[in-house]
Amino acid sequence: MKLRFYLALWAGKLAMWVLKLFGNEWDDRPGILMYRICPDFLKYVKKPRYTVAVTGTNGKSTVTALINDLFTAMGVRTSFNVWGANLKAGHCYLMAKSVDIWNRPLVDACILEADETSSAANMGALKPDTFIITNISRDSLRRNGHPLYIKECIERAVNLMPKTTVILSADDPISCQIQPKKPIYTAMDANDAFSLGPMPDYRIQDFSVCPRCYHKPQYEHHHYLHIGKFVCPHCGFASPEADYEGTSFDPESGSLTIVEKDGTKTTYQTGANSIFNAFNYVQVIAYFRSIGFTHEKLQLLMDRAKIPASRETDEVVNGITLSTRLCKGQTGSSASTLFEHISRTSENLELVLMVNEEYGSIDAHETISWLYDTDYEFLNKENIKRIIIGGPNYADYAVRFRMAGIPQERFVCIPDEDKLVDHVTFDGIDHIYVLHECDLVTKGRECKEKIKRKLIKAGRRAMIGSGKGGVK
Amino acid sequence: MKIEFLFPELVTLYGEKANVEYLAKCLPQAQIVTTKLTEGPAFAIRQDNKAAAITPPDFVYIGSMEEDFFEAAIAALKPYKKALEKYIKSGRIFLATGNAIDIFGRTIEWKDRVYPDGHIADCTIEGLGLFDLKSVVRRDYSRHNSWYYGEFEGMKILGHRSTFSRQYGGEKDPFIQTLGGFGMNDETKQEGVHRDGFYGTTLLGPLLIMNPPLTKYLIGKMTERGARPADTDPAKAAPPVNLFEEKWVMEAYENRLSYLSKPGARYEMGALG
Repeated sequence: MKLRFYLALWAGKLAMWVLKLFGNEWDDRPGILMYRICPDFLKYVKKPRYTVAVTGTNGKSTVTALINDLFTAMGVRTSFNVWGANLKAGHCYLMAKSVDIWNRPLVDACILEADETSSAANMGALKPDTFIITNISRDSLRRNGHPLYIKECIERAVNLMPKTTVILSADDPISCQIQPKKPIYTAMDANDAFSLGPMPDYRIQDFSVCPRCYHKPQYEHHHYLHIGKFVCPHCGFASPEADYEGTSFDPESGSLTIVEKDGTKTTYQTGANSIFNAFNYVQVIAYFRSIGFTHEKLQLLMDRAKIPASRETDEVVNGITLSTRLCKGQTGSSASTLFEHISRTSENLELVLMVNEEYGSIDAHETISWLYDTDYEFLNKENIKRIIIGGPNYADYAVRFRMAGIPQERFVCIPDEDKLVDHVTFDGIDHIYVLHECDLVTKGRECKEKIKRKLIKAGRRAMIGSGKGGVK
Repeated sequence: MKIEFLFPELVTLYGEKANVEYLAKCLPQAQIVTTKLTEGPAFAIRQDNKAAAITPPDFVYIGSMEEDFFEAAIAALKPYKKALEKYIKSGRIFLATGNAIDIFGRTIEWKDRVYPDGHIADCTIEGLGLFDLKSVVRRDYSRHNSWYYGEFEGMKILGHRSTFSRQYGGEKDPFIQTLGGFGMNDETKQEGVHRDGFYGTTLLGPLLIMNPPLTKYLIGKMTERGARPADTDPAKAAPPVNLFEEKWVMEAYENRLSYLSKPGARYEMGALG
């Protein structure tokens, strides 16, 4: 077995070197090669001092990136797949990158993103020191079925690594059904009037009945979707007590106060601008605290941890804010959370949706079930002046928008995705969002650039029209 | 007119509740009754003297749920099995979509079920036994994902399937004939079961939004306005049923139909995405 492992390692390293020569580092084919040669590659590869894996429906990439940023800021050498690569091939690739040809660690920390449904086999072999479960909610119906299936898959992984510390959200009633041997619970306290108010009637109901007795659970407070402090009044199933709880959070400044189980209270200046990012930061801070890093050190370096730019960008052009946001398609949870967040503003908005997975194909119909799992109802607001979407499913979106009560004059549904920008207008608009699928980061940014050029051109015309002259 | 939505607290998956919402938009005068697990179904006429339950519904809907809830749904319906049979025989509509069809068969065989305490074992759940149908659940990577194109009463039926369960049997009560894609299992061209007023299909959509001709047909049946399938003599047809946003719904249907009915169309759907 040792020989097979070394053959796999050397072949993989050679393949990585060749791909690097051709400028193709973000390619996990060497990983496939390695586990084909040695199926137990992850079992034999040497782990560095810290090995942390992050799984969950939403927030994996953000949490891994934040952990990598903080380790790097501390001078800890890390190995991290910035492009995700959260399946076995990606894990083999990352671990091979972390050791030399004699299987000696080259780094101090390995940070892995782990796909929820396939994590059991990989994590069981790798046995990281810490396993973080961000949250569990419904995801792509094709890949992930439903939340209890996802929970079951992650549970299998947890059962295979009893010595691993598992960080999970006490505010997530689905994650909380998993019973690790060494749990650390994180939570966010009621943060604003919204979290104490009545729970919106979300289309997604991932925790509509208690899994133990089928009665209706109640929330002491809630944050988004099924995330909040819950209790089943019938059988007593409830949020566990948090070891690290965010007690106050200001989305404007990013200031986040965390109280630890022993009562220690620390305020961190984070990059979080939304409640779901605050959750991510609490888990990241809990991780570093659990492996012995001090508050002071974390406070000092926190500004070095950034939400990945692929998730969100913002800039102001001619007085209009242009933003891109990642908005997963084929699943309602991510899109609904984002729509709810966007809907809370009073700015006049225009939204360009690029949420089809197979962008630009006129012959690639996608399932539409998820449209009815997504709260498009949040977008039925007077200040959301126009929603623009294109692609082969354009008519399906029109039906969905009408079902959500959005008037016909407030949406544009066209077959050609490349003509979205033609329909963007600027009159009376404060903020334009381009909401794009995970695989459309570049396309989303290109779309924003096109809007920007159109906006600059419109600005020039306006200045000429007003007699103020042109812009050089 | 009354539409009953069974177990909305369990039927939370894949946007399926939009079937009821769409019916409600098409029939704004209809009364929507939701029946929870702990309540007796309206089709059996509730004994709780709720005014809403005095007359039986004209349409009952149940959709996909997590397999973990099959036993609870079956237990809630079992005391009303006779009433359910009577309701279906009356010709009033009962629509089951997605994996809800499983609870109406004889048995559900769940392979390698993971129990809350972590142990894994096969289990067999006794269904309501309305149809001679056996469902097999494998909750693993063998999840079946596919596009579907079929025919019922001259109407082209479109949909997709995304499921951990496959169904065997039910030949005596066929519903949709497969023209493209897979039937209830890989060896049959039959999709779903239908007898009297019961229409059960494994298809997702939401079915009623994705299939305006079928929706018109069912509403026609429901309202006794006599809407007929498109291929019957137009002179005999009753006044047409108007659907909510019919122009857009039909445009979406036609687009999808042209894609799924063309020679060489791909029905297999990757698990990724």
